[in-house]
Amino acid sequence: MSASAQSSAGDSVRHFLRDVVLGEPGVEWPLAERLADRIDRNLDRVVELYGTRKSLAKSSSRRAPARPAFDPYCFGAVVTLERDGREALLMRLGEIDTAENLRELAEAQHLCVDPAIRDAPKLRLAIAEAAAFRIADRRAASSG
Amino acid sequence: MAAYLAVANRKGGVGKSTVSVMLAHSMSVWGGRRVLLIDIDSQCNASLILLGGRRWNEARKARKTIADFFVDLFKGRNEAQMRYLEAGAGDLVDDKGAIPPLALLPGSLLLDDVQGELFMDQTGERRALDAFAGLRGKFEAMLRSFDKDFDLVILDCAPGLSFATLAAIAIADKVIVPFRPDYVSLLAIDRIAFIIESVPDLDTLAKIPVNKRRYACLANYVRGDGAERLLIEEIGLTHPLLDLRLPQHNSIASAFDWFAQRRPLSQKYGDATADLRSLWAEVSGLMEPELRAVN
Repeated sequence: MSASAQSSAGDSVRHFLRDVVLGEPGVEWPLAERLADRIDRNLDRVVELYGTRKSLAKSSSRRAPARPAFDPYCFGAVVTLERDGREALLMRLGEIDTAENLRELAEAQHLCVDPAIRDAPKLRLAIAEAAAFRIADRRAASSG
Repeated sequence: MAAYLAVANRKGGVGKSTVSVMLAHSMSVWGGRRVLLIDIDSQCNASLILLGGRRWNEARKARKTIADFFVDLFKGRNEAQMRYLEAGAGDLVDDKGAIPPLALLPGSLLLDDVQGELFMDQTGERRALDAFAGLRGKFEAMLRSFDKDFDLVILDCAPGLSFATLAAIAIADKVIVPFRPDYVSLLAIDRIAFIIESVPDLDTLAKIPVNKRRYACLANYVRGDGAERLLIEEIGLTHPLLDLRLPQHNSIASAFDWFAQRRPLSQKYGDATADLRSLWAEVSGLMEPELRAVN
């Protein structure tokens, strides 16, 4: 965008914002004037940020590689723990990068983890604990 | 001497009667075996599927049910045991248009009451524990009494643990345990496995190699989602599993409507004929040693 075109766009936005603030019901004239001036002084920064956000959105939509959807049943946490042990389970959970996907796995496999846990390493430990709990729960149910 | 196959699970609604009837149909039609199905479940679903409502009602009026059979033998009435059976059960014809060799000892709504009354009679004579063992032993002997007349006796057990169900599990050469792939079923399978193998807990059960167990589990009503797949995998870590997964299939459900006119098996089962054939093949393989001994 050329400098003159950018300035013209800035003027239009500046007039528009002044009208919006001055037209707000219940806002007295001195306050409206001060807010309009403040926005006016920072408008270049607003335009700059607005432009960056648009270009970010554009580039992310261009990138958007069709990432395969996460399968929360890709392996069974309980089965892996029972068959291969805790270390093996943590290793498999380590292949899942995001906390969001870990939470999805726990949810789908009915493994109860604290909703307050947000970070991936803690979620992995919580899932392993929940799987162990489920195995213990089954043993308790089937004991005499 | 007949081979005995029980279909059991303490949990209800897992498809014991449907699996029992599917096996009775396929073993008699495709296997050419002389099959007797004994309906031990007082819901009588297998009887209704194999006889239809009217014929089952006639059997009840003629005192031709499992409850009548038990009471008469306990009371020392010496009726010929074959008189309690309905020959030519089912609404099928075989490939040559003949009626398959399938008989039914019809179920009775009164079976649970009858077992209670027989137990009370026994406790009058002996202490409770002795009476329990005595009653179960008598049921076992009565269920075995059809040995000479059939190749395969299928015992469609009741949910829960009645004397008759315990007797059926005790005499069975093999037990098929149908289950729905859900968490509660996992716990139910553990419990029925302890009874079948006479063990107290999972640790003791684990000492019996899976291929030496007397039972095999059958996943039924499978929809095929990921959660089910993982649960079946989990069950397979502890229990023997049949390879077949019986799907939740309209054709299977509708195959159990009674039809007044006999039909070939493929017509009755429609789309589900392939599933029936898989079940037949796999259970035939499982029962192969016992069925070979019958020949």
